Parts: sequence; C-alpha cells; structure tokens
Amino acid sequence: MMVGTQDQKQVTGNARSLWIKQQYLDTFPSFARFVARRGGDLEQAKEIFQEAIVIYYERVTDQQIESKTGYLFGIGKMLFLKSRNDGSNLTSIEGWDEAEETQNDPSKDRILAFLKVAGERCLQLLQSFYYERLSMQELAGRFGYRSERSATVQKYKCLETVREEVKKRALAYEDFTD
Amino acid sequence: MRTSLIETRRIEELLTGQGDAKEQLLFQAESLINPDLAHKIVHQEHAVDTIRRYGRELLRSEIAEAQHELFSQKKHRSFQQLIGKIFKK
Repeated sequence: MMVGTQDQKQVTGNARSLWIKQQYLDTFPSFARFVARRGGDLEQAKEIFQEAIVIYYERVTDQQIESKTGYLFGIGKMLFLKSRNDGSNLTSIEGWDEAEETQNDPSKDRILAFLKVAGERCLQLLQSFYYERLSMQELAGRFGYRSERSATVQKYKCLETVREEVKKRALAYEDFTD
Repeated sequence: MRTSLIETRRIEELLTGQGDAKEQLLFQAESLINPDLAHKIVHQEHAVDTIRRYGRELLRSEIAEAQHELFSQKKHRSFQQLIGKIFKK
C-alpha cells in the first residue's frame, strides 16, 4: 500500500505527537515481544524503538517508502539485532546508514547554541521545510503567511542568516561531529 | 526578491539538483571563478545540514515525551499492562 498524501500530511502536521503515540500503540507490543524473546529488556526496547521511529519518520516524510505495513517493526528489529551483534548481515539493511549517522549527531544544546542567532521563528520555519519537508503551501499555512511567495522569501532570509553565521564562525562540518 | 535571496535560491537549486540544468551548469562555472560564491555554496550546505540535525533533535524530544506519557499516564494503563506482561515472561 502506498503511503498516501493523507499520511504525509498527518506526519508533517501539528498532529505529530499523536502520530508518534499511534506508532507505539500499533507496533511497540510486537516489537517488545521480539526483544523479550531474545533476552532483551524493556529499557533496550524503548531506546531502540525511539531510534526506529526517527528513521521511519524520515523515510515517510522523504516519501521513500512504498509500504508502511511492518516497516517500523522491521527497522526496530534490525537495530536490535545490530545492537546485539548476533551475526546478522546488516550491510544491506535499509535505514541502517541513517541510524549509524544519528549516533554521531551532536547534542541538541550545541546545535541550538549555534542556530539561536536565527531566532525561534526562523528555526521553526527552516526545520519545518528542511526536516519535516512541508510544502511551501503548508509552510505558509502553518506560519500564517498570506502567500507561498511570502513564505518563500522569509525562508530564504532565514537561511541566509544561518548561512552567514556558518561563515562568521568559519564552522567546519567536523566541528559538529567531533 | 532581492538579489542576495535570488542567489540563495540558486544555490539551493544547485545543491538539490532542481531547476534548469543549463542555468545550473552556468552557476557552477561561475562558482569556479568566484571564490566568494564557492564559499557561500559550502556554507549553505552546512547550514541546511545543521537545520536538519536540529529538526531531528526536536523529533527525538517529541518521541521521548510521547513515550514517557504512554508509560506513565493512567489513561494508557492497558498499554502499560500489556507491555509489562511481555517482559515478565
């Protein structure tokens, strides 16, 4: 089943926390059974499931997945097996690259310290576009702009501010990942 | 749209591979002889990457909050009991 427009809107809209809870209600019990049968504990299950939702969310918002049936469970399963290092071949598992990358993410505080120069509204607008992948129409609606064009202009202004901060601090990519 | 914003848009189109292919090629050629533009391209790529990391951290916070609610609020007791049984076995 294709992930339709409605799913996309649901995931990228204000109902995100409801969407997250629904993933727990729908999938966490079966994932927990999987973990428990292999000797894992609740804390492991919770921790891995959080990471699995991040990967799943990014796949959905990026419209990279065609079917969502069992997809989240599958990601969680692979992350658990990897964490247990039980010999499974993980090199071809979709989503693992992202999971590995997320483990090297800088702390939220460090990112915030760098980005705060842009201001809270700019940050929200930019992450809505670049991370949540809202369309310009959705962005205009969420932030109360009269037109897509106004939202587009504001988005580029905000992006310029962040880019100039990158330049000012001569911030190399490695500074974020050391 | 002011000139600098048009340039920011053109950089975005270059980085995402969107827009007119010929125009992109010209823009890319321009960046080879214009170090300032070349730096802007690099900085903009880093800026977008950082914004995405920020977005991911926000999502992580929301997931942690949702999880906390599901495992602590009375209204989710049946869910808590179900999970509790799984790990008691």
